[in-house]
Amino acid sequence: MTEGKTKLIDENGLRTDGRRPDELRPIRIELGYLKHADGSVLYEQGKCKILVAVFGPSEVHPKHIELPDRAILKVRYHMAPFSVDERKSPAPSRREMELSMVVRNALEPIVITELFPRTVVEIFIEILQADGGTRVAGLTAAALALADAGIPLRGLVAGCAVGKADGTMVLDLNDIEDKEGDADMPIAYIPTMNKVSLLQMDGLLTRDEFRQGISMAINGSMRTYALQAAALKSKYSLPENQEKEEM
Amino acid sequence: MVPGEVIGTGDNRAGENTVKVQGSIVATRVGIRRGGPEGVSVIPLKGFYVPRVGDMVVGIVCDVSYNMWKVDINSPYFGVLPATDVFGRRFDPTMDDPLKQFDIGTVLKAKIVAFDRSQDPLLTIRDQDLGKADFGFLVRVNPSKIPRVIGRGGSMLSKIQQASNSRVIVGQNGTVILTTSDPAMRDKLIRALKLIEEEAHVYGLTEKVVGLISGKVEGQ
Repeated sequence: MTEGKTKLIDENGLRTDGRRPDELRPIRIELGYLKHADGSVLYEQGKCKILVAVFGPSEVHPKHIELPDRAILKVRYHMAPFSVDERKSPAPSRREMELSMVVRNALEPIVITELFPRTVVEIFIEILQADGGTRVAGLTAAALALADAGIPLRGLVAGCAVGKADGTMVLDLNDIEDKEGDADMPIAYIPTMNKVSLLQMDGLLTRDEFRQGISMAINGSMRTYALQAAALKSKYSLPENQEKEEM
Repeated sequence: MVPGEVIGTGDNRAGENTVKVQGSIVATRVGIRRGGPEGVSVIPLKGFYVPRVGDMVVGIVCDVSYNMWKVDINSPYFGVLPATDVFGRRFDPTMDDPLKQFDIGTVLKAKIVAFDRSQDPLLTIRDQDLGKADFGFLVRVNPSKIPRVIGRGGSMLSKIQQASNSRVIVGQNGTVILTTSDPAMRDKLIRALKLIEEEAHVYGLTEKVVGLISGKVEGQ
């Protein structure tokens, strides 16, 4: 937004954390992290640490919110008090309620809710440590936790933020780029359906920058998706010759 | 296979745990692909129990009302056991006391007679080997692994019963009753069930399970 603050891109074209403009932060995925949840994941993207737990499908309470033809999704995006620089109140803020809704809307196209009507699937996204891009990282992790819980899905959704820092389009913004950059555009993409399920934008981009941003974010989401698929396969799969026994 | 992974073209028939998306058949769950003349499907490696008519389930009574029992069958939907089914005649509140018959916490072996997603699954205990389970130890297994616990044509289950010399009652909903009174054998059976759950897709599992129960293989 303002110039003359932190230099976000150095003379070598690298970012504050040494990444190239189109480079993702390192991603670590630990599926089945929690014993008692039906599905869970510990997801780390750079310094972001996110814990997601899924419960359900289960009976809906209160009964009057159940739907006769499909399941409902309940999403809680919550930042831990210790997740940011200054202690955050543990009470749900306006931003958290909005992001819970945004993430739910982005997940709804992939969950085959018609298969289990009158039930609820609850998704808890706990941000343990925030460093920019938590909504898309939370969404990516939520898709993994849903798959881990055995909920039928049309595909996985993978998210990636793109933005502008010092006039350069950059992928997967960290906290300082998010706060001091010129624009921030989180995008979630469903590779199977070739559809974008979340697109928000804060700041200003030209039409060309917007197009470039979409292309970069989809590319970043595809790389994230490859990591999601690999994590699921490594947790559940064994070599090809061991997969043939009839069950 | 992971959700969204393409497992067949639009010419194939989409079987269980698959869906057609933009002309391709994709997996909807993490699992193993199975192809055949009947189409392509996915054997899930994790999932929840969706009631099916004809399934034998093991449930726990969780609520009693004046003319029916509500039974937790390890599914998103609770089973309903009507009093008429239990008493075998029209329910008479002046004579019949459902609480005396089955109190909360009672373990029941029941069969699903009707379920269509618009209403909860209807249970019956009026068949052979159904009704109250008086004795045993309950173990929960992921419902997607139950076909492996039973085996092809019941082969795995019969070998487990032979090796343990005890009866093992398997509910399709992932609840298993171990009837052995020997605590050591009970522990072995629990370990065997967990082994099936973890290694359901591995070759030579039956021998490993039988070896574990008969004490030839060191348990996990």
